[in-house]
Amino acid sequence: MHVRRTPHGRGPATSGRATTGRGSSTRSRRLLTAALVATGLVVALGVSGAAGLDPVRGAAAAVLGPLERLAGPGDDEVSAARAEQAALATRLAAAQRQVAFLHADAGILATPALAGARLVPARVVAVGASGPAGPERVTIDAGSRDGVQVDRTVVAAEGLVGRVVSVAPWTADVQVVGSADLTVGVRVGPRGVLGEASGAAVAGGARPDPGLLSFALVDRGAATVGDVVTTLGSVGERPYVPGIPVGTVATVHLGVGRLAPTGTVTPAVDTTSLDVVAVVLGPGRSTPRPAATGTG
Amino acid sequence: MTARVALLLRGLVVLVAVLLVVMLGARHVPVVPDLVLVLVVAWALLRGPVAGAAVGLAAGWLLDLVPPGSAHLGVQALTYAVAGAFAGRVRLEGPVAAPRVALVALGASAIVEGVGVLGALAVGAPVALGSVVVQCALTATVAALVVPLVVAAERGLVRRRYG
Repeated sequence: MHVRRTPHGRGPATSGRATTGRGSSTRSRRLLTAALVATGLVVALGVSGAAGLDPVRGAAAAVLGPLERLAGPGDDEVSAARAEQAALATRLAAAQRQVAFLHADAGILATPALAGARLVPARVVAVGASGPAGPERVTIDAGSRDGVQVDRTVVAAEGLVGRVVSVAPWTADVQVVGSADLTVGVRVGPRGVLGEASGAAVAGGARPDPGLLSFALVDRGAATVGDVVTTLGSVGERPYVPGIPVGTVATVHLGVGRLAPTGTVTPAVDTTSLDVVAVVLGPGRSTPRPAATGTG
Repeated sequence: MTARVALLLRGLVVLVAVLLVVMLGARHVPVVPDLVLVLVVAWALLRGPVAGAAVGLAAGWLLDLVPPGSAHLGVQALTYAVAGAFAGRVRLEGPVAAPRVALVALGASAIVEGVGVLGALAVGAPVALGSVVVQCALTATVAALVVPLVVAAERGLVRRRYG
């Protein structure tokens, strides 16, 4: 019986533990079942939209967000330059749209309406588990304390990144272009034909290849390969401000049994290498847009 | 060391794994191995299907909640619970060779990725099968290396308590 140091010596202890394990196994099985059922219930609530689960997510983000910010990639000159580039690109988009809208030229850039959108630069500190075709959600290091709200547009220098879907004090979660749940109203080509673009197949369209978006024009209209696709804009500029590049048309299918063509779009932003982005806080305009008198 | 402290330690290890995965993604690592699944597989291989499912459920909830989380809360939890139950079901008593660990991890990884692929197919989203396969293979490889370490650490904990 003096075999305590041999492997067999640990036998009684181990089997003793196993016995207690078997004794409590009914209880742990029941606990597990209850936890599984509760989780299933949460999923059902979330998918059906019957209950808002944002407080749960927000609480977790409030605790873990600062940790991710601390451990995220640090600031450097390149990221500062990228932030500046993103800000300028967004202002340029607003300016270009105004120019096209008013058919005027000089002086427009000086109007109060073009003072430029207010932007909060942010850095991507966490990228969620990648879907079957790339990342779908990312976390940025700007939150409600920086003025970020749900349903604000997120841009990079190249174009549209996505929209804010969840906000915590120090971080915000962004659904990126190319995720299956994200659909954007768009204008296609120089004539600005209306359409929609999505990470999943749009109605009447085929499933896009990985890395591409699917688009469909809402009514008759033409799209050609190489056309620039920009955001249409939403009411109150939430979730999307107008005129931000989404991508360029890659293929066009003249669908059978469908008036409007469908096709695929190459996104302007590579979501697998996101770094510095900017959240558009909405129009900074406080003075009314000046009315113009027709001279025709 | 009490059982409660040991439990807290395991929770911390899973949390670190979750944070590591999302941060590697932010640093543009092209394919990130599913470190959380590796831990779930390790504990499931030690303790069996019920414990495996419980660990998978808890770890999946962390994945759901740690920002940016998943689109629908609880989906990852259920997926990882199934993967953990699977790994526990194919457990063998006694020492297990690394190739078998890799095979079990490959199966568990296929379950987790398969749920994502099915979800994408259901809504007509694109599926990059090549990268899914690479992800599964990488996770299996990492599991073959990491699972023995986790098992050794667990044996150490047990020895401290009962030795």
